[in-house]
Amino acid sequence: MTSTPDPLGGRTNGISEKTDEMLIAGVAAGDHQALSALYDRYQGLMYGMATKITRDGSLAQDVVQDAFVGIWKNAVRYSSDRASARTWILSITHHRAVDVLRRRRPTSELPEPEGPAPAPDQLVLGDIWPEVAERLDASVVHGALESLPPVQRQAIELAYFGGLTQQEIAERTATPLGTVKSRVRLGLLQLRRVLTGGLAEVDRPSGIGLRPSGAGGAATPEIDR
Amino acid sequence: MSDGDLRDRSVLTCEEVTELAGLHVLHALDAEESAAVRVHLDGCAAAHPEFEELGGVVPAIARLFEPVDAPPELKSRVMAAVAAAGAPASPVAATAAPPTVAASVAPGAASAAPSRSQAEMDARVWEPPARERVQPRRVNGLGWAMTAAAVMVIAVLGAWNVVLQSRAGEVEQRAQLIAQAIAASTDPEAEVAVLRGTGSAQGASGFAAFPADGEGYIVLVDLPPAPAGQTYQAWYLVDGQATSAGLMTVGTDGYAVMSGVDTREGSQQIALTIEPAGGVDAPSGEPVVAGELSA
Repeated sequence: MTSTPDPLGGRTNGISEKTDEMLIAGVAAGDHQALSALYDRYQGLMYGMATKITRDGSLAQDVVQDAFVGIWKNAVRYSSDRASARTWILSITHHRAVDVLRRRRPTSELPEPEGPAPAPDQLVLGDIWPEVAERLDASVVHGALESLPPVQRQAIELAYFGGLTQQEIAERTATPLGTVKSRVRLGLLQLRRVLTGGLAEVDRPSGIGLRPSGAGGAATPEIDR
Repeated sequence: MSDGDLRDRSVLTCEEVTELAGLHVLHALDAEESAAVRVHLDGCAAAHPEFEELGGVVPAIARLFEPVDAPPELKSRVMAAVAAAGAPASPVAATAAPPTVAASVAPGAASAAPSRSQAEMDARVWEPPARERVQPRRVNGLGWAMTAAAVMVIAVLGAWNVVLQSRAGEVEQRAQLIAQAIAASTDPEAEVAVLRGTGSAQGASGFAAFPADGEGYIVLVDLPPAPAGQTYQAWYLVDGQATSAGLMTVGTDGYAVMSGVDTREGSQQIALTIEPAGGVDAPSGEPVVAGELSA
């Protein structure tokens, strides 16, 4: 049921026509070319994310490198049932960005995990709207975030874009830890409600933003299972 | 760690885990807390749907990151780091069956390494762009600055390490030499050349490393045996003038290692030619392996 447009008219063995999921399967089998193709597709998104979180181009490069080593090592554990390739890759990148940031901070109470970073947690990856949530137009998401109570929005932004831990958010905002927890939780629930509602209105594909050019790749068709 | 909490923080109740779900999916828990959540979820009979519910929002929020092209030189650095990381978790399992979450890959399985031919293919599949400039950067947090060539060397060696591990008993002494050569190549002061074969040695690859103080190494893999009555001879090249660096013997498995190679000031290239057994004073033919030295 793959409906990928086939610009090269029937040639299907070219690496550029492989879906992200096929490339990850290739990576799991040790194929460096598949990894190279994934790099070309995702470097922009990953570097953009890493730069935003670390606010340091050099650290961001370390993040992208660490993330690709993680992708390489863990590709065999990837399952397209759990998350799209894009979600999985960006989750790894986000984890690494946050790790790099925390290692760099002088604060001694932040424990430094020894050894290789743990495999990305599958549980955080469950898309509720596979193929859709991650393709929402950025402006729609931005609008949804804007609609939150400012304290909830701030807590989510400090966590996700700022890479802060709950303790750091609590200190930064002079808020008890329990309040930080509930702000983040309620904020995410509200976001989900708003975005789900928004989805009903933008049900047509034209209302769903395609992946940005920086991703470089074709859209990610669902893989038959 | 602080023991301020009377309660063991590593044991969480269902209620506590539910409270932490939002922070967890945003990666806003520290390593200890995050591990505690995972431990709970692994052993908990409850479904904890809140993790999927809240986690599903995260890919939407990720839409807000603007793509920014990474510097072009990052790609070769990433490919080198990946090659140096060795084989993926379990290539055997991955090719035998579609990857699944519960593949339960034992870390030790990596030592049941792919066959040599697999590793060789891996080494060849990715051709590092030899001319690409790579900024000196840290790799995996190591402190030394890497020369472009050293990065490439690591790339080549990543696949070799697998081979070396699986053949340790057989090639122990040579493995030791190669390990020393790798160490020499990572000396920030070292001059390093990535070597590539052409012509009759097409497919051969390797490196030469000359540390600032000490003996140099030339290491090659996939080098075909020299024709009967002939030998490989290594050369330093300075402005086109060749000086012999010694003869190299190829093992039956295609490895050739030379240690104790003198450093020649001002050498720009390392090359190998095929010469009559015993060697010659000046190269008689075109190089079959060559690489440029970079400090």
